[in-house]
Amino acid sequence: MLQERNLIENGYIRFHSASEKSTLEVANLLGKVFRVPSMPLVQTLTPRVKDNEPSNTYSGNYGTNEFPFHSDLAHWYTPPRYIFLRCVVPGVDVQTKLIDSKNIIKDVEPELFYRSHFLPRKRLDRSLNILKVYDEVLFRWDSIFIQPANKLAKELQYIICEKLSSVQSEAVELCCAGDGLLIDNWRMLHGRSSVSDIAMHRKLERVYFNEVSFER
Amino acid sequence: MNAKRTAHEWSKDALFSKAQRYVEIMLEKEHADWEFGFWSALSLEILVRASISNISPALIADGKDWNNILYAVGHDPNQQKFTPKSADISDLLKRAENLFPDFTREMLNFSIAHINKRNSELHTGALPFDGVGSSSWLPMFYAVCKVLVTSIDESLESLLGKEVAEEAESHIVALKDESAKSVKGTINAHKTIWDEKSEEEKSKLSKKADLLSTRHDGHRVNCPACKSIALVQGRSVGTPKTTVDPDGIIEKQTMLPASFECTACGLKISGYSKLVACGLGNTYVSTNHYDAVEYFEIDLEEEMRNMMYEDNNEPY
Repeated sequence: MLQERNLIENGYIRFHSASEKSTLEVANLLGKVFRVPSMPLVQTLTPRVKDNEPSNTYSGNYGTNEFPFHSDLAHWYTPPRYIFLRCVVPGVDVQTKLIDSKNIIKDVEPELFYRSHFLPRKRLDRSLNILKVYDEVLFRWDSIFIQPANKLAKELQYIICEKLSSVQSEAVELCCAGDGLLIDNWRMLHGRSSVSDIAMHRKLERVYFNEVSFER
Repeated sequence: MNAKRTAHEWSKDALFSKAQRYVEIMLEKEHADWEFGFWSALSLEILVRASISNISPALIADGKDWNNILYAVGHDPNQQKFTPKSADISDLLKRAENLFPDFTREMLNFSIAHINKRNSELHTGALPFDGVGSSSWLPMFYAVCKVLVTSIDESLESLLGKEVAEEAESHIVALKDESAKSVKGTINAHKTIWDEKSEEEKSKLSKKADLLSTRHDGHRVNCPACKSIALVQGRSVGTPKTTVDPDGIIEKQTMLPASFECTACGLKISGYSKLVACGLGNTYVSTNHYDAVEYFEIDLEEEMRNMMYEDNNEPY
């Protein structure tokens, strides 16, 4: 069981789980796994060459280069709250990078957040919703899958991009099979460092949660 | 909060974001442009929908077809070629008057007229927004917006931006002052005419006014022009408080003043803000007495029949 205060303090928790257990077994101990339609319950993440991948994925856009900071499913109206990443096969020198959105929000005029409109790049379920990057409940960001839809959003996009390149990030290396990382997807942005040729066998598994259980 | 791919198109958040979008376009126009007024009317309609949806999206569904209500609460009706329909804005504005205590009759009348201009713009060759000075409608527009955004825990700042919100507040203050000035002028005019009457005539008119101004018809007050007894009428706000006494049921309902009429000097004042401006804006309590049978709508004959012919599995 995890300590809630660690998650509240840092926005993520790193822990180790027995490698012989499956990711789903470990995930079920954390909470009820949320199934994303059109994805398996447990998704497998491996480095992919850009040219081989579709453009609706990060691999299809960035390949084995660095993945920019983002929150998962930022184009959903309400993205899943938690992401659980678990190492199956470690990759040398590949890091998951994390930025706390608190460091982005501060010093930005609040009006920019509540009047900037973004739109998902594509319709979802034949529907489009205006999205706000930050509404005091959740923070979302994705430089590809959501696009600015008004002048203020373009201004905010510029500010966020500047901050993402200057704000200090944490780097977490999942270096053993069973290493896990639970991320608050409503608060933290995550990215991945570039993957060298010798790390191409790296394999993570990912599940999503709306809620997790904490040790009381 | 569970993950959701999309928001309901009738949700408060979706509607408020749309209102922000329309207001943004409105504010790009010069006040003298017809489009400034046009986009303000579109913004107003969406804002009304957002405010009512905040209580429940079911309240903005067109109730003539229950499938619209079903859709509003998040279920897909099992009907071929179903197209969800929301209620007419005229119905929604009347609901707003009932739902939001600060949404006054004046605001209702203004909103109806303003949105009718939008209809005229879209459906006819008329030019309802051309040549209309914004000072004649903009202060009231901002006052209505303020009431509506407050009802959904938003602010004028989140709707209009900081600068325009400050400008809007000063328009709202000026609006209240204008009402005060105009009603005082009306009162003074009636007082002047009253003062010119003979004492005999004044006495006769005041006595008649006292007889006509019954508690049954409204709230008795002193007329600010001639001091005779006159009536304020209001609309109910909040839920009534009910108590029981030996004589029956007593229901007390808080009333917000909406209009005033004096039958002695003929002074009439309509609108809560004007009544506040001349000291007649205090809420009052309307008390009604009912007997229990009337209140609970008991059908005595039906009750008697039920007692005589009780359900019985064993007919005899």
